[in-house]
Amino acid sequence: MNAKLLAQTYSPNELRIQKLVLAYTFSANRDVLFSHFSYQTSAITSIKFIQAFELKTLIMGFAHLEQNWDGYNAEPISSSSIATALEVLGQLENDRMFSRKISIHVFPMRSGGIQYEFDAENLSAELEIDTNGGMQFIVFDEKGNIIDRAPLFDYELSSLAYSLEDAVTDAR
Amino acid sequence: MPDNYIITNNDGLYRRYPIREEPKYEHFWKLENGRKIPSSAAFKTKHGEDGLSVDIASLTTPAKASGDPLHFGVAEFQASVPLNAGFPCVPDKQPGNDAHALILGDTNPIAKKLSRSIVAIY
Repeated sequence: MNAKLLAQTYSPNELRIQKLVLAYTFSANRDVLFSHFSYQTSAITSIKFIQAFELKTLIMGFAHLEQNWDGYNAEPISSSSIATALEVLGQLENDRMFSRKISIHVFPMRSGGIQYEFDAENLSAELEIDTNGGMQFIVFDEKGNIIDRAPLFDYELSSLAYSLEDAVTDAR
Repeated sequence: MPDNYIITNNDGLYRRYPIREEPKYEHFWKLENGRKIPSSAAFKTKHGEDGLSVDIASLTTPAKASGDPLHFGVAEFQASVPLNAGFPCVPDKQPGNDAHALILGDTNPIAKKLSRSIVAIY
């Protein structure tokens, strides 16, 4: 893999890309790590794949957060929310959301859940995952006011891409 | 802090947020228009809390508000943001922290607004 080429194309710095490549290359469990996405080894050459891998690494790392991880007595992240966050990530990958001009971030929540943040020129949205794995999809205007908030059920995950596209339209 | 201190629109408020990153790839901020800002998740009360903890900027320093600069950064925003959204801000002295205050209520509805209104990061 050409780390320099990836770094030129993908926004994070070269050092981070190199670390990801090394982590993958030397991971004894790489087949397990990558099984969630059903990829072949050659797929590591995909920049989008690295983006998904980075988010997956982040989400799995949330399991290490202990009580008071934010200095304000935040709760540890629940295993249910981690499982759901990985399920969402798989769906985003299936829907090729990483190939669109939507910036995707994932963060631990103080309550023990996880939230995705979706940002684009005309989009600001969050997907909150609570400690039981329940989901809420929230859309904001440019000032951060809530425009819409609605539950999203597991069986509706496949509609997430459409919800994001609708959100782009609504925010215009 | 005087016992009758009143937080006004002109007050700055500090909110601590975690800055641990490597080696666990845990990060709690994102780049927005070239600025490093914490997620709105840092401004959401959790179930059972009656308000969001902050420090009054004029009564402390970013270093004191952080407490541990290796692990915590500090974001500053104006008290006018929660006040104008209808969220009272009240002094709430704590042992060892006279600058402590609370944004009263469930701040989930204004968390995004708070994260967007950050004027400085320390």
